[in-house]
Amino acid sequence: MSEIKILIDGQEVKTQGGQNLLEIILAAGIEMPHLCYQEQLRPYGGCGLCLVEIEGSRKLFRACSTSAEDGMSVITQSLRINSVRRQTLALLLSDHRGDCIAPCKNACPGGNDCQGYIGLIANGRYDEAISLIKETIPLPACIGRICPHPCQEACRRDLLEGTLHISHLKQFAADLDLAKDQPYLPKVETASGKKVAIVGAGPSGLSAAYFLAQKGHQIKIYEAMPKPGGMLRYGIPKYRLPREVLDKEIFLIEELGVEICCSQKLGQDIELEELRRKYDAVYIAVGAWKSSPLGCQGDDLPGILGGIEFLKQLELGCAPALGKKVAVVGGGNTAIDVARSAIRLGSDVTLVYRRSRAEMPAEPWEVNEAEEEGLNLRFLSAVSGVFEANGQAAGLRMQKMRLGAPDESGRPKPEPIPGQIEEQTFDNIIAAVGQQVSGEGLMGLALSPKKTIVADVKDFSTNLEGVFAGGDATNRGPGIAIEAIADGKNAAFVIDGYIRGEQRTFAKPFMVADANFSKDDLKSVPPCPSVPLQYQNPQSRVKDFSEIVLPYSEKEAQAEAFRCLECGCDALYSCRLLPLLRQYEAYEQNPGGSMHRRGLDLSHPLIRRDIDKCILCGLCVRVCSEKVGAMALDFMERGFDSQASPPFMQALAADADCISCGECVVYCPTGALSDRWPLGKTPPLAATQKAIVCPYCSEHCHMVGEYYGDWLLRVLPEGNERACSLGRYGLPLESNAASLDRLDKQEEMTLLRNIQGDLMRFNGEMPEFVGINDLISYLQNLRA
Amino acid sequence: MKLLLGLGSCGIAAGALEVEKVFSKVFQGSSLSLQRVGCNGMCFAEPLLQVITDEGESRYYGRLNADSAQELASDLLKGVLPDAGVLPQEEMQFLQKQTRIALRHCGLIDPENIDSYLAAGGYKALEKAFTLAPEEVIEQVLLAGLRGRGGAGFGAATKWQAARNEQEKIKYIVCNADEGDPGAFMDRSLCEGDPHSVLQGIIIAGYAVGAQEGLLYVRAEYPLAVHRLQIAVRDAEKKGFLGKNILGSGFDFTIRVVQGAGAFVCGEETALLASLEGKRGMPQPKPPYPAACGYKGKPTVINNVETFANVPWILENGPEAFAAMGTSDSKGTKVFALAGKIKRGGLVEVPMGITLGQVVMDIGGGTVSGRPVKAVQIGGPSGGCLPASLLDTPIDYAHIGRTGAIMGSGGLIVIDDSDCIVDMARFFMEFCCHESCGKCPSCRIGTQRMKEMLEKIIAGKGNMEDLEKLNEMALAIRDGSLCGLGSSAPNPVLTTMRYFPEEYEEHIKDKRCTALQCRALLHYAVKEDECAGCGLCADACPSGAISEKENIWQINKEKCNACGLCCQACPNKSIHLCSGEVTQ
Repeated sequence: MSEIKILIDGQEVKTQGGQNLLEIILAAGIEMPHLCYQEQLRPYGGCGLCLVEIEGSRKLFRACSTSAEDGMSVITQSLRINSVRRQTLALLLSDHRGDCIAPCKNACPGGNDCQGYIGLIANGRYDEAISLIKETIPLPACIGRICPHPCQEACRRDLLEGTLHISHLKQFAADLDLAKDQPYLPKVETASGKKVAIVGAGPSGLSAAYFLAQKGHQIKIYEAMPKPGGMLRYGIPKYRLPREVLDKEIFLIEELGVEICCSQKLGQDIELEELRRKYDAVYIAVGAWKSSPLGCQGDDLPGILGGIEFLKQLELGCAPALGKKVAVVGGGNTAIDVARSAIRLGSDVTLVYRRSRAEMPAEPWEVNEAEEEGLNLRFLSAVSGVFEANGQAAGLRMQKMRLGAPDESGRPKPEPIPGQIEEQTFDNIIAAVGQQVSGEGLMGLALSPKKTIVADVKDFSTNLEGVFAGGDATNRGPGIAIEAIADGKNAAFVIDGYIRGEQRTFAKPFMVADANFSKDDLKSVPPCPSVPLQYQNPQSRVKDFSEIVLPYSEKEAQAEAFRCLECGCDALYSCRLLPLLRQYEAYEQNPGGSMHRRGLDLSHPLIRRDIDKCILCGLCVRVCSEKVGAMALDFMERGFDSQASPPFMQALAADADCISCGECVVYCPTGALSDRWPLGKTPPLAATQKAIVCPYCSEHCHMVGEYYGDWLLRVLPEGNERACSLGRYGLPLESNAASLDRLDKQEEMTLLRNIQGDLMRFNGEMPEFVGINDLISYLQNLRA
Repeated sequence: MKLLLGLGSCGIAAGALEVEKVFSKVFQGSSLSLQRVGCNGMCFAEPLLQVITDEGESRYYGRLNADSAQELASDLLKGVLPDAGVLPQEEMQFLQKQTRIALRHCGLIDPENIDSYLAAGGYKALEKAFTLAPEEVIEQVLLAGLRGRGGAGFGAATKWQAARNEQEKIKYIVCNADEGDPGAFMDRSLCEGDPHSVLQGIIIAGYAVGAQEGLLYVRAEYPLAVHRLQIAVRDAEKKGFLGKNILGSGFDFTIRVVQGAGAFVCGEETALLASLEGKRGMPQPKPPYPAACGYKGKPTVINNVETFANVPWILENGPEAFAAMGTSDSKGTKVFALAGKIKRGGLVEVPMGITLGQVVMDIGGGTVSGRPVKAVQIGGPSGGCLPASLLDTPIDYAHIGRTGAIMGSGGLIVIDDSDCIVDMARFFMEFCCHESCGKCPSCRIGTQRMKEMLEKIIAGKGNMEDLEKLNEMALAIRDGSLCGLGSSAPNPVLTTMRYFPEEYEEHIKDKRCTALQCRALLHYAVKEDECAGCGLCADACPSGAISEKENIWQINKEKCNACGLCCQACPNKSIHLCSGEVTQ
């Protein structure tokens, strides 16, 4: 072939004649999206993304199937090209059903990879589980105990036998880690020489410190209270979060070099201006420490306690002694915490709430637990006044309510029933109807009417240069701990950039999510009962503040982890569609419309087929026929219903042509085809690749091992090599042999049959396997 | 006296076999006999008998049935040519205004009898071809200016020359008879009516290109065409027009009839080749073009049935005669299948350059209902929908192309004002969606989404943004699809949106379908002054939409689902179909 010259976007490129334009463009380092092209296979021209304009022609060409000709002038980017690419990607998205990340992970404000650590726990990979958890949450033992767990609300097992106890599994992994002599510590980059001051050692401040410290910055936290932990220590009673757990996790943050200076109150002991002067950046996470007043006549009477103040005093050991009868006003988590603490102090506690049980913001299980402990609940009672005796608050005047039409929160609005007013005397009244930011010491910071700090939602910046803010003290006001942690982590990302002179913003990246998932989609999932949490019995637990929920045993944790449905896509880290959907913002253009719901094909023990994620690039069909020569896959149906499938739409395991080499999986650009092993969990993890040599025959093929930590996830062929079923699946099967015990006879036989498919290629004969142990020892023998 | 009875699929469907039985019975023992011929194109008048007197005068007796055939046969037996049943002069315009080249034998010869073809001068062109060098044959086709009649209008001689130039020894000719457009039947009629002309064209092409085998790819839904082609191939082999050393020329050539399983996309040449090879019919990127790398990787010429049928005429009459017809860029004639609301539906062949209006009005006679022509869908699902105001457009590749439609293979569907344009666009989109091979997302998913958007508009749930989205998506499908079928699939929507924007807006903004076709936008209403007050309508209504108020019956628009039972029940015919303020 002679050398030719072509122009690509005006740049002259010399190349050999006969090459297709896509090869030349990619070789020239020019970005060009494509989903159906692979060097080793014949150009297919299907996906329609590698479009180019060629001077002198009005139509668009597919670069993959256009031969370069001398003198050709090619344009790779134009409005027209990008618009077609965007529309095409939007069309693919409109019939691409699945979830890039599992609903649990998606629901977690902190983006904690629940499916990931659950899968690791299921496989007994506890070290990897804790390091994965700590990629997003620095205080998992605490959060595992106290989080209202939005993850669990999203868990799809709830459509069957009930949600997984995700939070409790996190606690399991974290407790296990804390019990070690040397618990997990993340790597700290070399010192940057930059300093960041953080105000507030609550969940948000500690998180920001944890992530900024890892970036090599010098971190100093100023904390107003005598001990760090913020609301975790002073707002959450010990029976939910033992202090030694909190102390250990904070200690690990200090181990990263973070300095925590307690009893340093902003505006009193330190000034914001001084911090700005001394540090490269400041993160304000002071929290919301003031209880809201009852908002009725008499709410300023002496003797009325604030819920948050009460919990704080309790922790500090300076709480006033409570009388026999205590009223707690409010229906949130703090109200329940206050009430249950008061019960533990020996009082008879009545909770007064203006709506009914169903509308309580507190988590229902906590309300139930409190009831078990003897809490009296008084619903549909609005406090209309506090009456006094001897200048002290002495009781509540309560208006009977009924539920009316929904208000703006969507809950039924309570309305007074005229004339139905009751009075009741109480020794103590504790108002737990909300929290506010005190606003003290925030000199110079722009505040909202609610006295919260105004911080940019994307980059946490405030009106003061170099001052960032997050957590309960900002914008919307108090939220849950994991939200504060998320703010701390995301703010750390932005602040790290700020220090380095980079403008960064945080935005949750686009992910495909299956909005119409229903119980029907779980029809073929075998039942797996929940492993319930174990509690101390109510009679003994009200006697002191010891922890009431018992941790999972290892066996329980594994059983619970095995219930995971693995909703998140296997191809999260290898998907070639998702980055393009983001790059072209194709999701903005999603036309919607009907979507296929064909369901999973889990018949094959080593390959998972999720045809609803298939974009019909045809790579699997082509690699199977062109490279492998097996013809186990082909195109079926036509029009919108076209699909790549084993012939006659049979299940993959029933396909006699499939030799289980897994090449189709290697070539699949999405998660439509992925590796699995029977009954084990294969969470999508950001794996690292290491070169390995296949040990099973004299060919000693060069392979690539994908590891998470030191756990071998899968083995892939290197470059253009073609792997056999042993090379692809032998090592992972051996290293996960334990989970193969769970196979029943039929599944065992399917696995044995499928792994054998490719063996004859080398040995010329089919070994006799009676059981799975034969296979494992066969593999071990080959290796020896 | 010659008696020609049209026995194409169309005639048979109209009852021509029964008519034939009657004639045979009456003529039994007499000197009279019927000759079975293919359709002469006058499908509207079938079953049709053409009587050619010994003096050469022709009379056409149309719309025969067992009774009228009995009478006619008796008269003919007596030597009487009755006036009753003769097609009126007005209907004869259908034939008189045509110029028939490809169709020259259709309706005149017995397609199942090679002698009938030979008697009409068949296979003379092949003899002529063998007197020329292959290059000279190509030269003749080039001089004639013959463009492919399959749709795209690529020069036939260019393809032939390209394949001839290839160094490969083995070459193929493929005849594309995979006619898939709804409402098109040009190829079927030709194969059924004059199979030998098609074969002759293929053999001549084979000689010109240096091929050894011809493959005739016919859709299996055309059993009669397949049957007659198979007979024709067998007879041509027997007579030495196929096989070894044809007519002593030293040229060997065979033809195989291959049945396609009926996928629209297999009309696309690379998909057709894949199908011929036993693979799934999916288009491949071009180049390589089939002329260089086609069937089994060998140089292959693919032409349409009508293209091949023109070739023998060109050789017999000379390229100049062919080129004398038509316009500067479009030579010769074009066959059209007239369908839809046309008064005289059937197959016509006209010189290029005559206007759409002449075909529709003069030959076709306008609409069967007498209502105004609203639009003409030309070129099938890949074509476009042109309004009545464009009926003066000359039929040639350039002029039709400029309207946003394409010449296509010759489907012409006439639409009157009782047809809904949006619904028609939906129909074609549904067709394209169903027929997509699935390769390109823009076509596979895009046509589905466009169909869904049109369905939404038809259901009265559309908004004006949908029109914008439709347009954007149409352009993306056009630019993003690999093959011509995908890239032209949005054409019916693009052209209807261009020429009938008000009809889309009416569905969206006014929730009205003036053509009274879109059921979700329709309801029934009682005309008060005609209502007798009997209340039978209310009894018939399954949705409880009809109620009485002071002896006047009213239909609740919201409840009415336009089933029409009330209308059937009304003894006074005082219930009418409405959409918005439009009433039937």
